Amino acid sequence: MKLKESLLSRRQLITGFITGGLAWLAAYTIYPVAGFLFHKKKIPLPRAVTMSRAEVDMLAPNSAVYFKYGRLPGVLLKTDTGQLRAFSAKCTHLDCIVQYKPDTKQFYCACHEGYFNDTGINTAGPPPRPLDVFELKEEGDKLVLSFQEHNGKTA
Amino acid sequence: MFNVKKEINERIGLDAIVSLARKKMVPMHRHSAWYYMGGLLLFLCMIQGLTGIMLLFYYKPSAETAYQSIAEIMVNVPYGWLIRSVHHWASNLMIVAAFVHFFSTFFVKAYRRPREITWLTGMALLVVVLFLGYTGYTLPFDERAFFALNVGTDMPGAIPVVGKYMLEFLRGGENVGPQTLNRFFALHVGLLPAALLLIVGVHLLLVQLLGMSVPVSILKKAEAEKKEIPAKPMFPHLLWHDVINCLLLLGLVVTLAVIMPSELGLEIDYLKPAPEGVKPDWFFLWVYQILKWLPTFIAGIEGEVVGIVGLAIAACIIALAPFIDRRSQRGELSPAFTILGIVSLLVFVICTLIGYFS
Ligand code: FES
Repeated sequence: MKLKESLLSRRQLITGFITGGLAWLAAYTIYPVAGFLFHKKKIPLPRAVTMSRAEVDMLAPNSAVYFKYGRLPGVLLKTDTGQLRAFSAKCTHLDCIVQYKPDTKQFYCACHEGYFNDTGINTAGPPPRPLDVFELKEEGDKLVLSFQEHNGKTA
Repeated sequence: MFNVKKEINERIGLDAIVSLARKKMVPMHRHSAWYYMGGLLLFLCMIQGLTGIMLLFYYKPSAETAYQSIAEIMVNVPYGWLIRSVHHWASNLMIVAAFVHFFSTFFVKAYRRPREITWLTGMALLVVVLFLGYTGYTLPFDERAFFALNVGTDMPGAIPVVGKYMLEFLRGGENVGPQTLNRFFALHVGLLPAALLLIVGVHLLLVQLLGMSVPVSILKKAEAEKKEIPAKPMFPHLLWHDVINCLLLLGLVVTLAVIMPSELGLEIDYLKPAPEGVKPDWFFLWVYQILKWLPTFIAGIEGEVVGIVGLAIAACIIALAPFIDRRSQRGELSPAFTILGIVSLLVFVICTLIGYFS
């Protein structure tokens, strides 16, 4: 059956072509530009880092040292009793680096007054969860520190 | 209801600007096509600004990192090769367009009263664009860049008296070294774009204020036939033409970028001798070729010095054309300056071609 009238006016057709063309052009421009701008370099975390026995022994009881774990800052704590614990030094609130306070045996974050106890549990202030914990293993005269990134919590 | 347009209008009188834009008419005659060149240049400027800022996201401007970061852009960053190549090709087309704009304006004598200042700002822009092109070539800090830096900074060294200081200022020392890159980077992304923006602003303002110039020949013909020169409103008619031109140009830039992506040469080696047949970028080839032809000594003065001073004088004559060309100023045809233009154009084109193919 032939329609008497066209369903589409010439004007609509041309407008459609122009808009379509422009949309196509925009997509072709935006796609590579966005890809370029949002590229991020993926630097995988190391599987483990090691510290020598001597280094660890030098550490006084009830004190802490920082260490580098790829792009993550870590902190190694030696308690009064000589026990070793390692945490990610990044505050779980907004990623400031925490410091150990020997007098109160706490990790303190100066950015917004956040506190964690010496097992890394958040005790006061804004931090929402405990510090991330490193696994410690002794291998010969080396201390092996390793860290599992869990479900994207740690940037 | 809150009416944004009305509120803004009350404060800054937007209507006045809009009605001014609506009133602008563009004369239509057989040389009208040249009017489009400026719009295209502006569009290329915008492409360069945007892609340039994008490249800055990944480019690391220091002698140790520049080369690697460009390699990274070309290989690892998604579409990095495309963005860099677009920047490269748009810069080349910008220089071509700038020369076309320059010569066409010269031939129609659009520099005559009252547009002398517009002409001078245009000349300044041409210089800025050439230096942007040159400084841009050096930023990858590859072999090509190294020789371009050496030869390029050596040239002002030939200028009597101040030459030595200019050379050391550009190089940041007696020789081209890591510090030179930082200077050229500062020029390419700081000083030159700022100058470009400022002068383009003045240039465009003057174009708006003074309207389009009509060539003397067309004016005379219309006078003789007692006819008015037809004109079309800038807004929206010619703006649409501009948009279409820009889209076509964008297509050309992207096509060139895809077919011939920009290259990255070998890593810099300060001890390596210049490779045979090393040449400057195409837009300085004509200078290179002319200097090559000159004898070592002319009347006891070094040939290079004579050449550079001579070219500078020629450039000054052209820049000062509106003040020298009295006939055009009186609204008469000025064949002498047309011939000067033709000779300059021929020298430019022929020397560039010879430089390219020799
Ligand atoms: S970042 Fe540590 S308390 Fe806010």
